[in-house]
Amino acid sequence: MNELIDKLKTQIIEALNLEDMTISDIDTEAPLFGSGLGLDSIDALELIVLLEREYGIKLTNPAESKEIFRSVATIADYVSKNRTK
Amino acid sequence: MKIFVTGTGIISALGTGTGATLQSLLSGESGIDVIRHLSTGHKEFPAGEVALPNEDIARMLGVGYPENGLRTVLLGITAAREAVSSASLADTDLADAAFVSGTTVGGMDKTEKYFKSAFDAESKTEDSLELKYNDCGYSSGMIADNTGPFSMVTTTSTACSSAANAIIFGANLIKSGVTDIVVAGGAEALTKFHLNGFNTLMILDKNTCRPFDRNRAGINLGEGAAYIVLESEESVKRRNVRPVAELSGYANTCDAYHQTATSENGEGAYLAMRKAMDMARLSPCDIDYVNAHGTGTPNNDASELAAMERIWGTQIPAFSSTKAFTGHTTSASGSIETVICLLALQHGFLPPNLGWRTPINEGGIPITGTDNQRDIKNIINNSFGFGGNDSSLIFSKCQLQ
Amino acid sequence: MNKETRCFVLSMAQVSCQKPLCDEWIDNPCRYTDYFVRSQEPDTRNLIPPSEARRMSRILKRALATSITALNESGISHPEAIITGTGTGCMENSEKFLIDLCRYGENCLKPTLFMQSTHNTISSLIAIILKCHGYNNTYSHMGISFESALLDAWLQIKSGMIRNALIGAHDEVTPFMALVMERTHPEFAFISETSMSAMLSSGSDSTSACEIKDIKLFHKPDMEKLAALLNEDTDPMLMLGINGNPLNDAPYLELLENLDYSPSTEQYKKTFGDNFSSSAMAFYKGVRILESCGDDKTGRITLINHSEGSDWSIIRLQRQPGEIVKK
Repeated sequence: MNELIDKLKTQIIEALNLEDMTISDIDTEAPLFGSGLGLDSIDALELIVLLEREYGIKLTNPAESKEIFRSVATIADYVSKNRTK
Repeated sequence: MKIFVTGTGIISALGTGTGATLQSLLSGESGIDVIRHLSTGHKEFPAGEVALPNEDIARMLGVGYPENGLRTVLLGITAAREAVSSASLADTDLADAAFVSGTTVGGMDKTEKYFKSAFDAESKTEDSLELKYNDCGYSSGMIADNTGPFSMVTTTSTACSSAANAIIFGANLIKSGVTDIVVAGGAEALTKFHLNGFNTLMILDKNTCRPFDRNRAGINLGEGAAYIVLESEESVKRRNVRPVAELSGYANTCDAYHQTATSENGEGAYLAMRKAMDMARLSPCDIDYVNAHGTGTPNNDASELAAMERIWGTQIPAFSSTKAFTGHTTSASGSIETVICLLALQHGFLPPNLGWRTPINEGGIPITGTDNQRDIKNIINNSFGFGGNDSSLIFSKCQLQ
Repeated sequence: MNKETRCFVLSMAQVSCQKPLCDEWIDNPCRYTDYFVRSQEPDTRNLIPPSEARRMSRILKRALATSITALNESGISHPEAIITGTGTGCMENSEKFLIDLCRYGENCLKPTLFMQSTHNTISSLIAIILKCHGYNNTYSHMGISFESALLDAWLQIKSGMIRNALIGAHDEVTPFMALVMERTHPEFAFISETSMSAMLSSGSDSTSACEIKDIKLFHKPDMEKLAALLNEDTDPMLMLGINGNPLNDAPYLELLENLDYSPSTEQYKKTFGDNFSSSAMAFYKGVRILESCGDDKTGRITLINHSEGSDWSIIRLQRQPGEIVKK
């Protein structure tokens, strides 16, 4: 799981172009949206693309993704259970 | 100084020309259907395509094909020529006239066809020459040159408010004395680029769109072109032509909130409608009909309704979105919906908001059904683009001395 | 239009193949021999917060850099209009989206690329950052995109609709685009990128402010008609888009041959290169020349530009010494 978490952090940094950030700058449990990293609705859409491209998970409803994307930990949990790649 | 509209031209999913468009509006017949012409895998999204392949449009126009094969251009020429003809403009009139056209995709239909081969070959093959036609200005130039000998041509590109802004700039050219006559509007063909682009934002509806409905689920895209002829009062009198309507007010403002989302209180929309009314010296109660931008997205329709409520409170005038007729024709929507408004003004009817069933809130009940004969004097037409580019145009029944 | 209302250039900023956000190019220009030269990137760390910058392509960062610099210098924080010109818009994003369409098909495509591919992304981003609700428009008409934006601003200021406007011209070129342009635009000499922003106003506190006296656009004009306009006033120096390539230069030479006089001429493309927004650098250079005229001299420059020999612009700039006109 730790390997997946590190991989996700790297992929998130790249997908959202979080320049000058490294994986150690991202707290696994901290909220990604609102506070924490302060991501917004467009970032949520980018994360949906990331999940599909890298893990074959297709999320069609942006509203349901709110809980999945709460933190890197919740994303990792969802990916490990639903990945097809 | 008064600005008059003396000619109109249109092509959309409702048909070719103002006659066909009027018939569809009066009978409540939508042009939205399964995608047939665009080569895409996304057949699950209905769209308002023009029901003619490029070759047929070129043949109808008598222009060579495939050298004039850009769809935006073919649609544009069709509508521009009708506008010029309906205003009885000769080449001698156009020699001092300006042509202002709005588009965002330009020649993207050709680009997306040839891009892969050109890119893979690092531009070493002939296919890369086809990419020359990508840019917006090239399309406008071709539409202009196939319509008349205009002395000035330019292109506005503000996404879904492009055509409305072309009309605004055209009006300012006349008010400033640069020219007496401007043909202004917009043209946009459906492309894989923006169909997929909108899909990435997850705002396309897999059913026919339902603007202002509580259960609305997004946009149906459309395509088409429309142009109007704007003329100074002096020119109208000199040429002894009868205007269709007066462009009595207009405004361009910016929501300045987000690239794709609208502010909750619809600040840009509110300012655009208010400023347009100020220019027209009209009070809110003077407006008989609002042709809303009404795309069918949860966000736009809520914001636009909020903006209307800020102006009219519980007394919002008759309003509707006609995007369930034509689809969202993006850069051309400002002029396509202008022509719809002008038909409504001339023939005294209110175009219905197709697909509507349940209100968002108590005040937001648009016009439905086709039994909507009304004497209309003043119409506001809203066009709100990505980036918060908000424009409103007011057309009034003519008071020509 | 009120003939009494005037239109001045309060401030400008540029990013190009020359050193950005300064005028070192005047005494110490960078010289290039390559066909394609990218802009020298400005340092935007103090101008744009990282949380915003992360999403921005090059053209957006450059446009913001020149806009904020011009605004700060003008002392106007909320312009009444933001009007930009761009020939091809946000090409880096458009290209990436097209590449992804080729690679992934019609799935797994990135929304940010599409969202920031429309031509008006630049104008609206500036408005979003400044929280500016005023007039906002974007023109995209090949090599006269800048002049179209300028004409819109100028007409509105002259007619009193607005008191000031932030105008700009921005074009970026990707490596692939440069390869394509080498084939599709044989009239270019060397391809570069441009971002130029200027604050215009109906008045100025500065005695060296340059005034825009007139601007006209033409579509397929007679050379005799253009020449007749220039023959009306033989005094100004002419700034031409000559680049040393006969395909590009021939229409300018034809125009000069139709003149009744031999004007002094200046050029700018050898310094700033070719792209759809190059003519904004003619404006930039022309204004800088006039601003540095001696205090006792009236300076006049006429900028002449053509786009593929088809669309033309004539801009008249003037500076009268010692004048102050209230805003």
